[in-house]
Amino acid sequence: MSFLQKFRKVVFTVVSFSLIVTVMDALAEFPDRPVDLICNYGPGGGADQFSRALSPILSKQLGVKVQVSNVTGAAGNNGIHRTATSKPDGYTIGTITGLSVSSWLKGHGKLRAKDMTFLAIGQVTDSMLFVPTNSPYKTFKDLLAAAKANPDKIKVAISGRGGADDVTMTYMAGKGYKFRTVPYEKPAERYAAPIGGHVDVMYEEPGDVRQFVKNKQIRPIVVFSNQANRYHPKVPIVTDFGLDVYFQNFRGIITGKDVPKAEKEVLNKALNKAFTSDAFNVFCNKTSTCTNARTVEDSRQFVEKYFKGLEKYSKN
Amino acid sequence: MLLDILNNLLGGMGNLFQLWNFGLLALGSLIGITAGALPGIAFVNAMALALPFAYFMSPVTAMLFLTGIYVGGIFGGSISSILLNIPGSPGSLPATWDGYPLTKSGKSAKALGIAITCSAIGGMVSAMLMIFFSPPFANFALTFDQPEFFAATFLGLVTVIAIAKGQMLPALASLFGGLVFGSVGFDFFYGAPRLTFNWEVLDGGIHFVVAMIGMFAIGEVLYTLTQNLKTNHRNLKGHTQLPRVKELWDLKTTIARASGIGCMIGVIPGAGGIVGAVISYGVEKQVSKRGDKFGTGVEEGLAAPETAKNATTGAATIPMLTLGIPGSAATAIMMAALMLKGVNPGPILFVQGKELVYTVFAGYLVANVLIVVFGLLIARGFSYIMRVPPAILYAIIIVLSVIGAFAVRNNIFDIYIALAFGILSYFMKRFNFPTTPLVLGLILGPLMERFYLTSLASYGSPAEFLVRPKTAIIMSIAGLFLVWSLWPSVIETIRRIRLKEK
Repeated sequence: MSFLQKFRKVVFTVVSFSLIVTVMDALAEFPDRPVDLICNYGPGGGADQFSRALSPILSKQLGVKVQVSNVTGAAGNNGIHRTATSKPDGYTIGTITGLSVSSWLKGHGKLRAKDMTFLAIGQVTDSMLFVPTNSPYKTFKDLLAAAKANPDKIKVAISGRGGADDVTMTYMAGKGYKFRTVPYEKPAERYAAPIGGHVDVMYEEPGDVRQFVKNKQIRPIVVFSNQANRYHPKVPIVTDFGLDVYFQNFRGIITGKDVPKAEKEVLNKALNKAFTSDAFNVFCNKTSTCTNARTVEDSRQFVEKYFKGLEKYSKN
Repeated sequence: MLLDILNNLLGGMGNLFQLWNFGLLALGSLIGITAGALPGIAFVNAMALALPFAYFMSPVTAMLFLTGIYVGGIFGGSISSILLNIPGSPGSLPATWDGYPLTKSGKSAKALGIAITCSAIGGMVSAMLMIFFSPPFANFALTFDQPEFFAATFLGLVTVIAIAKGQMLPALASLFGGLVFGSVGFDFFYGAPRLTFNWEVLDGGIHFVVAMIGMFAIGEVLYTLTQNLKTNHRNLKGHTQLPRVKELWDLKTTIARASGIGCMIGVIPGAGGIVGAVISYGVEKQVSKRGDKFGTGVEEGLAAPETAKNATTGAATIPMLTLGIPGSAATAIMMAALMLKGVNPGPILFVQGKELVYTVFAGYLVANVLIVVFGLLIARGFSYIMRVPPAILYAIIIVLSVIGAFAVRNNIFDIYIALAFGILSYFMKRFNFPTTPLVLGLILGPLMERFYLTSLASYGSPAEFLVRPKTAIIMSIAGLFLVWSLWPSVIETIRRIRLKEK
């Protein structure tokens, strides 16, 4: 074989091989290789539990492996940045939570809602005020009356400045119910605060403190919603007291904004199927966070409504 | 309470003896003893390197793995102390004083036997203290609010300085550096960026695990490379002869004293194995009948520091588990493992994570039994271990460090941060600045700031720190420590002024 012949053979092989690959790639249905699911908080937390519950179910829906990795830091914005800026081919998706969206108000992170695609919302939960079981405030009415009579005296444990809890309590102060907010960054310290008697009230999600409610260490006194909570239907709603403030915390899935529409649709369908599956229902019922299916557009509106609401209330 | 503890401990034992848990505890102590015995790698380095692997385990298993390395490692250093006159880990320094002379007079088997047995006994006493003291203390700590936590953290920072008596200024500088590094990133309270120099990668702050990997693994390798460690280990004899009951009985008062000292020193933040061992040696030299012969190969002189250094282990873990305030590099790494897995140490852990807590307790007890078994084994194979070429060993450590630094947050930039801390640690060692205060400053600083700000939000006035009884007591202890450590220099100044007046 002459050099030229050899050369031709090599060129032919390479060209035909790449052709085959290209054609196969075009014919193959998305997805045909593992999908990365980036969790924007550390292991063990709420977002991590959400990711680990979702990944096997989503993997069944998509027919490929869905592998979770945690990219943490900067109030969840490091993970969001990684998801939204990776190659826009739909093979990288990631979690986003109400807490990370509210951190944008404080200037955390560089990306905003317009810089990403919201694929679906998997968990939605109301927040509630909890008091120690032996609290002198039997009802929310008692608590409001006490707050009015003693402004800046009754202590409420919240998670930090500028979050939905802080904004809610600021709104209440504007209505004449001035509580003293005490930010406890670590969840364990926040839960210990009402139990140890260091604060009078705690702002929390029912799913996160279910074991303390079950142990009868704390009890819910009001739910921040305009309709009864499906898991705690007997707890009074805040709008009945003339207070129009309710933020629902959520956990959802995002991807890059330039991911092709077809891929977005495939992911959205698979995610909605996963979120409404029996297997996922076991998880979301346990954490009192089940929600309904949403389109990509609905998911975006849900998040934007949340952010705009926070922005509006925090300016007041 | 006592029955509860015993009951829970039994459950913990059941958990511990599951194949995976027990296997990793055993593997941990094997790694710990080996790393401890190798001059140049202290057990803290091994723990920092093991942390990323702990990431892939359940919180319980990860804690057991680290417990194994901790308990094994603090003993392992004595093997090279006794056989080579080189302390493998800092805490084993006093073992060279009376252990090596025994080797020189041909009694290395006896010396190793005493070291192994006494380390195990000291460790067990300390584990017992932890088991029976932690749960009531955690119960008590539930009454702690943020001002009390602030005071406890403050006490921790003060003791780090007070302990470093002769070396106060370098320790202070190191601690201050740690506080500065700890404040990098968005502050939790107002979300204001600090010391980020508009550099986005610094927004998330410097993760203390990354810094620790840099300081304790990379830095240590850099430093050891520049030292010339030449040893003659051709004729090492690592046979061990465990002491007979009668011999051990003769040492009973020494062991009891040293256990007590080790436990007390262990609880003090910043002290650790080396301080416990040195103090115990000093005390024993004073009270022993053969005190004047210390340094020539006296059994008591070996038994005392060996018992004391392992007696610091369980005691040092008490404040980490019950308050979430680590007092040493080793316990800080254990806390990091818990936090990486989303488990927050503190009084609530004794309610929420009973199973984890008691399995770790059981792990401390069993790890101290394991060091007897593995200690015999590794002492015998020591001459082989010493033949591993340092180049290969260090290359492995560097690779593991890079992987580890990345794995903490899946962040490439953290690798550069780890390297930077490695270089910093090299220069600190070179110019005799202690590195542990920096790490503790980096960990305790942000904690203290958070407790302070939350206290103010809750009570409004800093006066609260002096009015609350528990806080006032803790703060006055901190004040006493400060005075005690400053006293020598105060006396010195007064003396000088008087001399001038004359």
